[in-house]
Amino acid sequence: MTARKPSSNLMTATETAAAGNVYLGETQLALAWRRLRRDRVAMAGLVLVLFLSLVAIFAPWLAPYDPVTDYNLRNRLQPPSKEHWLGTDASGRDVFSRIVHGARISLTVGLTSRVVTLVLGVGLGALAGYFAGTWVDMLVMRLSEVVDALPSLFMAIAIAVAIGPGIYTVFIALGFVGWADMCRLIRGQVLTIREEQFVEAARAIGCSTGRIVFRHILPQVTAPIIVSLTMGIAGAIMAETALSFLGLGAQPPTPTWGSMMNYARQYIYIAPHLVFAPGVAILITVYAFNLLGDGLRDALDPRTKT
Amino acid sequence: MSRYFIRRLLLVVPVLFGVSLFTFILFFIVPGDPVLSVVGERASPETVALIRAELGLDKPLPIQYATWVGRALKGDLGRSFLNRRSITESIQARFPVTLRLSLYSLAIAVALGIPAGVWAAVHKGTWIDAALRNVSLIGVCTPVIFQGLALQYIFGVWLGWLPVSGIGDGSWRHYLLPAVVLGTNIAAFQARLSRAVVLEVLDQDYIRTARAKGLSQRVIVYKHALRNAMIPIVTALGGSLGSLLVGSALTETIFALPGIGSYTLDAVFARDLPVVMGAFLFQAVVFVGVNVLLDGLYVLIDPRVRYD
Repeated sequence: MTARKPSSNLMTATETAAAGNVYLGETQLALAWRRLRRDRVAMAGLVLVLFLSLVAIFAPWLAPYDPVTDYNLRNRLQPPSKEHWLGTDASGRDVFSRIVHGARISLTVGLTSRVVTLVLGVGLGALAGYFAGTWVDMLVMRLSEVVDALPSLFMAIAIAVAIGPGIYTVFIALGFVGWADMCRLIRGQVLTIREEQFVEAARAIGCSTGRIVFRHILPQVTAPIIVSLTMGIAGAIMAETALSFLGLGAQPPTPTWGSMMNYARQYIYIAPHLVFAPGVAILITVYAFNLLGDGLRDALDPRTKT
Repeated sequence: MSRYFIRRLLLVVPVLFGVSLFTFILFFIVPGDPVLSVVGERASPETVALIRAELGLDKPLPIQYATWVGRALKGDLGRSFLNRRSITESIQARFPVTLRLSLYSLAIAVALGIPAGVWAAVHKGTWIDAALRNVSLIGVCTPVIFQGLALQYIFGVWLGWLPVSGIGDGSWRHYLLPAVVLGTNIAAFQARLSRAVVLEVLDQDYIRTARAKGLSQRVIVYKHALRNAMIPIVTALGGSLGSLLVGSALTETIFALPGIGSYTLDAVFARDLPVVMGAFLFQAVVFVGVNVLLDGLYVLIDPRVRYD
């Protein structure tokens, strides 16, 4: 069929052993962690991700002002100063405090929408892979093709408009959009793994289908799932920005980076810092998740030399 | 070969059917009456009923859907709820804008991305590689909105070199900033991909043979490695072209370009159902069409690929 490169970032236990990469007494995860720790760039990404998570969790304590109620119309559109590190917005609110609180929305959306994707993608992918060739597989695959035939942002926008704007809308719209890729990835992996001897053995001792899929096959595909999850969070944060920018995300006065940019647009001539502050915040966050994701891909790939 | 393409085209039919059904259902589960959102809440019930009958909204949903599909097959996508304009004509008027923007963006992406990736791969492990990798990762991570607004500010407001929005007289100057936004984003992705692919190819035995024969680095990279590396690169470029041609909602909106992306977006916000359905169907056809054409292209660039 199409000349697509097979995604082979996962090997079976036997192959890994043959490659001489197995350290006795060390689990795959411990091995991956050891590899990751040695990757300085990836560790920088991890530290940055942890830092941003802490900022999001402790936002109310870190922000010098309240992001919503501390407004002062006499002090609007101020450039950065000692009192307001990133200046003030059109209502005179402290931009730094709003950025710090915005991290909460962005990270929550990133994580939650990926969990939706994960449940849908892994569930349907495992189903299609295990029942490959049956009508179940057929139905799931056609569905994923339909989802893929529409540009994802347009689809997220359409869903968001249909169910009305809001933060939960963003979770659903973005979660629903990304599942097709995950589904195909898992299906492909399951297709290969289900031919392995240990699956045959499990079937021979009378394991139920559910047990075989969840206890025997799915643990084998953790590596691609973790990588796809990390990269997916970065993508979801970008997409959330786009939806918020279009007014479909969390509603004002809730501070989100996308909506901050949206409102900053009209002041671009007089207060460009209002565009740059949330823009750089998104850039740093997405950058951190990408660094970590790149590192995880290398660390979890058994072919990488230790 | 031709049998493969016929089968491939037949498989497209259920996908397009699914797309049209999806959009149709989506906008009928929307709370609120599409007619009311057009004529306003205060219109008299008679007016509403009249418009409803005129638009065919009083008929059962399956019949509405069947009528729509029947017309769409003849190339008639119906008329907008809002301004009664023909949707097919609107798309015909707007597609050239998106097409031009796509081609400019793709040109920028190819000119920057592939050489950067190859260059990084050839100088793997040096500062050139590190610098290029960082620049391209930053490019991948920059939100389109931020880049668009930043370029508007720098080149439009601050330096005053380029127009900030609209297409004006249709000169290239109006397309430059949006094309740079889209083009550099794709270029960043292309650079990362090209680097990885070229490195993988350079690691293969036939390259070692070429080196052993004493061929120059230039010949090895450009004549031997690149040709094999082209397949995934072209695949990705084709994917990018597909997403460009359906129109970039954000970029077209930020730069006020009257293309397919902003057309769809405006219709979605206005709940202009016929336009949304027409635009989505058009986008799906373009998107899937580009992919089918790409499959054909493989045969040209890679003689090993055979479809039968």
